[in-house]
Amino acid sequence: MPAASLTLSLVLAFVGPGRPDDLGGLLARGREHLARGETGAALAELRREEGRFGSDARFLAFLGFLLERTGRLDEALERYAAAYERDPADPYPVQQRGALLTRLRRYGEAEAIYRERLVRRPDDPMARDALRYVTEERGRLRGLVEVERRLRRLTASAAVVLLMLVGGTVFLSRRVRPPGGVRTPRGS
Amino acid sequence: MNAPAEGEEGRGGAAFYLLALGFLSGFAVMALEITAVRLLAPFFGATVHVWTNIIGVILLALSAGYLLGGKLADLRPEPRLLCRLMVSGAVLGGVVPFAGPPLCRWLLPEDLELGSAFGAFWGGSLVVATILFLPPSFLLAMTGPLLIRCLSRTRGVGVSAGVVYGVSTLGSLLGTFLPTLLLVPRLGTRRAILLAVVPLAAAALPGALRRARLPAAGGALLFGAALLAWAGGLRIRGGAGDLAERESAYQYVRVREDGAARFLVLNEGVDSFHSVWIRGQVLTEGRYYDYFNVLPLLGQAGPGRALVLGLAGGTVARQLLHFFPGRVTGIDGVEIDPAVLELGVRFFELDPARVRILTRDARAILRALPAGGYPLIVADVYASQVYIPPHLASREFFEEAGRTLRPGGVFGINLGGFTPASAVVRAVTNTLAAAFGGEAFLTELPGTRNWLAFAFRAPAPAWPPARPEGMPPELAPLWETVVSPQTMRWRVAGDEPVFTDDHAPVEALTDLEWRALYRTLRREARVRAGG
Repeated sequence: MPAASLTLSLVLAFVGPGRPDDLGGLLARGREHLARGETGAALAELRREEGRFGSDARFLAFLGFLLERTGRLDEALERYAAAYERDPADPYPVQQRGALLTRLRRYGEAEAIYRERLVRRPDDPMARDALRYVTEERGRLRGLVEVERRLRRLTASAAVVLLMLVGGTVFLSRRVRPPGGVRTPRGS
Repeated sequence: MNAPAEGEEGRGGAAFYLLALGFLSGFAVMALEITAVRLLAPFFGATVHVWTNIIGVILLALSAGYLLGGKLADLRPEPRLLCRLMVSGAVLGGVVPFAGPPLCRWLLPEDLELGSAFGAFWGGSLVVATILFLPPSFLLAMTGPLLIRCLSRTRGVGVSAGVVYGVSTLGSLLGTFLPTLLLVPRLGTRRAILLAVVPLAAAALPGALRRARLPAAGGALLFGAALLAWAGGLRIRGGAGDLAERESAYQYVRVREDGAARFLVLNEGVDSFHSVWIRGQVLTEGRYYDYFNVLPLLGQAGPGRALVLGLAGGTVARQLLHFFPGRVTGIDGVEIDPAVLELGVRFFELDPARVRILTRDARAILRALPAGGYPLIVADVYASQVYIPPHLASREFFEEAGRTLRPGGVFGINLGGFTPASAVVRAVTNTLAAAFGGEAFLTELPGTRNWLAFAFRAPAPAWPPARPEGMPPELAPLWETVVSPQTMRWRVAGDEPVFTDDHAPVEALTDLEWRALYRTLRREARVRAGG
């Protein structure tokens, strides 16, 4: 199953079917908006109700998802974190927050989240796989470190080339004297 | 032609000799500048940043060379010194094609990720250009004032300066056109550089020596010929798994093989590619090309030829012809670079019998095509890995594409971006929506850094559309991704830009995004290194 479909299934499973209470109905309407591709409309509706349901983990996680889809990433991360605080048993906010941080290449933060999750739930396969992936990606940053090190060495070489050219020419032009009488007077 | 003795430099044949050297020097400096980008492109790309660095370095060299050359001209206005400087400059220029690629290869190892290499593209190209191109350009620039001073012994300074500028600029003119149009595409960058500096070295050597002048010139020519022959056999970038490489008039192209997969890589490439072919498969294991195959299932314009803008090796064309033999009756593929097409036919099963190839810029082709001809247009148009050319991301471009579609037809474009916050992805989608009646669709392609944006020429299908009957089973997971709540129905938003031909800052926005990514990666790398 592609990752997007998996994420979506998790969202829909998490939001659940429409329920008679206000929150259930709101989430169901949000889900219908999503099915029609109307992410913005779903977000607007949830935003309006944030004052009422802003302390509910399901609401926060769904709001985080919509914020992420519409490019408000910092807000999305905040909502995922808040959702996890309210319901640490639920894996969805951890997964979403960790995945978003990974896409942003903020590997250190993602790694910390997955490690913390594994402390609480040592048998969580999602956190274990994600942690392995993040660790591998961080390992690939060795290439960047090496390139920067080499670039510094090359920059030093370039500086030497520049200094040699300028210094050498100035030195020579001071040392070398023209054969008698050839020098052009200043200002001529 | 005789090398002038001291005091004879302003006279007849001697003056002609010195002016010939001025011409060859002008040719060499400009040819070095033009070919510099081609030499660095396989490693750093040919972006505006690389061009800027090279032009900046050469201008710095010229400026310093003129200043110090002027001083030297007053101190020692000797033709022999002039010739020695030219020989030295030419020799240093001759080192460039051999020293350059190993230096770049050392700086940028093969297995880098594009994001990790991004900073080195800018800084690395500046430093490498300084090391390689500054010394010869500097020495050759010093010869200008000397040449004027030598010639002004027997004529006015103004006339001498005018003649020297005129002749050397004519040389530069030749150095501008000859490498681009003839030398690089026919002989390659290394030999183009050698052909720029060897004649200068051979011509200046007799003037630089006190005796054995003609044998020295002959020896220089022979040595130059040997270098030319040797350079022709060297690989441009090389690398394990490379099946072929070409230097076209546009770029450096290579085909890399990794297991059962082949990749078409342009210029610096890094981990980015422009076509994929996998032995025994049509789909490419979830890479972004595969998702274009959902578009014929969404369109409602009936069967017909599809237009592929940015054909490259023909990955998408091959897939469309395979999966939709009745619906896609043929492909018109637009690709500007004949070398890419040649490698596409050879390594990527690009079939010229079924794909009509149009070798021009996508925008120019689109303008020339009749209205309402295509049920499907696919655009995969990238320059330097991450930049969509601005004229292929503007409202006017999308409107022309819409005009070329049949009613009910669909237009899809590949976009690069890491998250839904990508300014380029959002702006191009917004522009697409603005050009297609106010609505477009945007879906993130899982496991890639790509997005698929698409829009319909009215009438558009009801969304979400029903799963079509008879859909090839391989396409079912792709359909589920594209036709899912993950896909955003994008209505023109006032707070997002709409790119136009007049103002489409695609490159600036792309740079911002990649720089931010690079900063993050550096921070992460330092934390890791510190930890």
